[in-house]
Amino acid sequence: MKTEKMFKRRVLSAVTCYKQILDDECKIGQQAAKLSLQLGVSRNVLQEAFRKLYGETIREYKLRIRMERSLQLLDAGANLKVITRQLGYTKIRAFTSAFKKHYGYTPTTMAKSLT
Amino acid sequence: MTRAAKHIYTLLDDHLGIYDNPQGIEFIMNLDDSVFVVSPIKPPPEPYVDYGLIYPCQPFNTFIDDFHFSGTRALQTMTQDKMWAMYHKGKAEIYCTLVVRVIMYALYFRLTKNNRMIVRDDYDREHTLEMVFTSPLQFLEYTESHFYQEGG
Repeated sequence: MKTEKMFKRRVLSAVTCYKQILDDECKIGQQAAKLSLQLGVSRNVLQEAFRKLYGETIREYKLRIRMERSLQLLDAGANLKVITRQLGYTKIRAFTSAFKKHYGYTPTTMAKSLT
Repeated sequence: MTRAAKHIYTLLDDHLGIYDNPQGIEFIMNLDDSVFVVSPIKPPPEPYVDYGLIYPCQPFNTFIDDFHFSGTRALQTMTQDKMWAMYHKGKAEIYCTLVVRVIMYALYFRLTKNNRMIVRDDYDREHTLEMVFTSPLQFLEYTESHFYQEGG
């Protein structure tokens, strides 16, 4: 019989709070482990509860919203340097490679299709 | 997965897929856990050029094997010399990207075992060069000429 792990209210509250931070800040400077400690739960528990609640890992979620945000910025006409910085990458090459890996197109191709 | 690999995986995961080490080398882990590494060469040949070394996307285990990482410290202390060593082994490439606002055009240059140079573009189309480039200006001139040939 499959057993479903139940999380304490404190953990669920930490997960919700953590997700809010991820949503608010595309560029997150703090490591997940440090932040989870500040929220009073261990990283593993936070990770597990996050996946349970939202159906993806913290990194998957973060990467997805980062890429969605990049599309919004491209659509708004932001240049690559600005987008790179806003998403938390330090190098344009890192952002453009991550973008192409995610969407299968370069940001330039995507920007042309958005206009 | 070895213990070292597990620790490195956790480090990259903990940084939500973007880890910039103190020497300015950026490690990116994608959704499928593949990893690529970027290390810019400064100064670039022109201000509008993004120029440097890239270890292209590889599965996580290949990345660990290629770099022979013994633990997280090796990743944290890695310098550009290691990227140059990877370049000379043909496992990393020199990238030369022309960047103007949202327009970017990139070519990637890698060495082969018989000391020839192969160029690829963003769509993985490859061709071999007649000579091996060494100076930043050579990489830039070649990239620019290709960009104009393709109607840029």
